[in-house]
Amino acid sequence: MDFTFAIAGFNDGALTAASVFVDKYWPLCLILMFVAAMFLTKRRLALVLALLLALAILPLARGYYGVPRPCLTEKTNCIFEPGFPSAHATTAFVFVAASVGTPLFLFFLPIGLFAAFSRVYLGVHSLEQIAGGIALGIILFVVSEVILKKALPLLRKDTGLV
Amino acid sequence: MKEEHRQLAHVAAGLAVILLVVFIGKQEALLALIALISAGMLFGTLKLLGFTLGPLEHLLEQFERKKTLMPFQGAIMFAVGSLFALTFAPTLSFGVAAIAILAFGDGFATYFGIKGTTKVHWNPRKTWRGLFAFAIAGGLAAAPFIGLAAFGYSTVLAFVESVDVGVDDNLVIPVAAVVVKLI
Repeated sequence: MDFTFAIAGFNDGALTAASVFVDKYWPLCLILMFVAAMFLTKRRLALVLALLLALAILPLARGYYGVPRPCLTEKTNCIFEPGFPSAHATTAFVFVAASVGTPLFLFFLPIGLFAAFSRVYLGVHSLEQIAGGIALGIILFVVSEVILKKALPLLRKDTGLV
Repeated sequence: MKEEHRQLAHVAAGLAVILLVVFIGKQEALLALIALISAGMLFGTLKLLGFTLGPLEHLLEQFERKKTLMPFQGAIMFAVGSLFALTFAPTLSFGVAAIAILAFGDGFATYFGIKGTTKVHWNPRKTWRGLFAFAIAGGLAAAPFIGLAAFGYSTVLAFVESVDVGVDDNLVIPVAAVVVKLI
């Protein structure tokens, strides 16, 4: 069974409206999630670093793999750019990983899963593309935490500023 | 629980993912891994927030190492590493081979490595015995998918695994496998 075709072929008015909203206003959603994370999580620096790394790596990965997006439905316009990995899934799961262990996670996980699902539902990403985004988002956050864990003590020692 | 039993669970988990991909399908495996990651992070968060997890508490006590940042960390990282290998590897067979090296190489490295006496000089926590066990077991497990090249990849990944980079091995090995393949 091809889940990309099955999910994209499904049609529900409310689901389409919600998916189109996420598609249209994802940057706004990210800003709201970022503000919430700044107040309610403890790993803020790692979150910022992971988002910066995502900004740097996503275009490189998309250019390198060059996997085209599917164009499976008429719920939204087709996008003729490489789609692997999904930026929506990557950024969403950076936030999900950053909020683990906090009450905010209980909001971010459904948002992240829906954002990823909506990309396949709208037919602009395949299941593989959002799965890659999810893995990349979590890995970028874990790597950011390790970088900061090693770098911050050195910065403190050298500059006394951090 | 003894480390040997934990590593047997690690090998069994890898085998389960490989069998899922080979006999059921790649997309089903991806969905299962996403579900596992989400559930693991959800239960881990609930535990950190002070909730008790019922029967899962027993599982946690049996399989989780004491010094982890969050509950179910090992299982979550294994699933994330497998998801990365299956999606970022240039071919499905290489992705499955990377999971095989992760499961069998890493599992056997710990099993045999803790009995080793000669340490590798760049990491006092790793032994040559573990490194060789990783290379051989990982190569044997990955060979059905990518042929004899499996032993080359497994040897390179054994050296990568023996370096203490501070990131969970379950992430380092699949990422290193994909990077080595792409290079």
